Amino acid sequence: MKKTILIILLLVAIGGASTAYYMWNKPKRTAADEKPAASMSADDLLLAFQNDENKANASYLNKIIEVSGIVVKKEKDDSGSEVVYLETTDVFGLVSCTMIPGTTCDASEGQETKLKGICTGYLSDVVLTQCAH
Amino acid sequence: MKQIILIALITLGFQTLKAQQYMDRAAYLGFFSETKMENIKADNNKGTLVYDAATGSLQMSALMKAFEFEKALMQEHFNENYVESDKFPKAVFKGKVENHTAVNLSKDGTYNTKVAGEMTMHGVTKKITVDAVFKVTGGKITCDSKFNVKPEDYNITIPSTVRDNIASAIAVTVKANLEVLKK
Repeated sequence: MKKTILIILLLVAIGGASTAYYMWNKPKRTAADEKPAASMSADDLLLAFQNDENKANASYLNKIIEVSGIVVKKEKDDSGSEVVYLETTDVFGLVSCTMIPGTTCDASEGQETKLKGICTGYLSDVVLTQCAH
Repeated sequence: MKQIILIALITLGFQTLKAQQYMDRAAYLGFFSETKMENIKADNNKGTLVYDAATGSLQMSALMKAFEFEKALMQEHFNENYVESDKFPKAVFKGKVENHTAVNLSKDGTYNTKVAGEMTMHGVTKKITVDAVFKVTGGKITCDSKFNVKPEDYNITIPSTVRDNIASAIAVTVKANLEVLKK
């Protein structure tokens, strides 16, 4: 009887420890693993935020959004990740897509591309992070 | 000859009179919490910083969901439990550089300034004054700032079980590369 209890306790302890280990080291959420909740042109995404930011946040914040558009420029941010800016009809606002660290976007400047990423909101650009093709 | 000099002087005059707006749409904002228990660091490379040299107005904004932590779990806790980023997606600072007329971003130099304004985060607005340093080197303009933020000031409740793991005052660092805003 005692032995059984001990074994059960040990299994629970191992289970608990494994869960804790997994939780502590779990990989970050990226767009690579998920299907997009919505798909649209970079222009439409920016317009959605410009017209009604609260509504756009409710619809898109924290969701995987797929955008298509022409690459205006590609840069590397301070952490070394590639940032792809997609053109819109707005003179000023763009859609910025930070690629999953260590990955790059296939398209070059001036080319059309499709990317999906986690929508983090709107400042001067609509910002997508952890992006993938 | 005289006419040419006159035209040149007028053009030059217009250049110096026309105070510009400057912006970085990929400014770095980071915060660092140091305690005996652990150190927590988060980086955000998607901040915006806008400076209007004519009025001295300086605005910094950051999307809370764009803060990257080393651990996914920490990032989740930060967003879901602490700053509640679904409800409050941004942190915004709006201020005015106190001696902005002394800051000449078309001239090389280091300009130490104090920026008085309001920080809005997690639905709470608080008056704060931060130090900001503008550096101009060969036409390259940077704006750096370091200041402390107390989570409790913005109604960010940290459960007592982890209170010792998070510093009472969190060190925030801002680094921006400013470019002239072409409208």
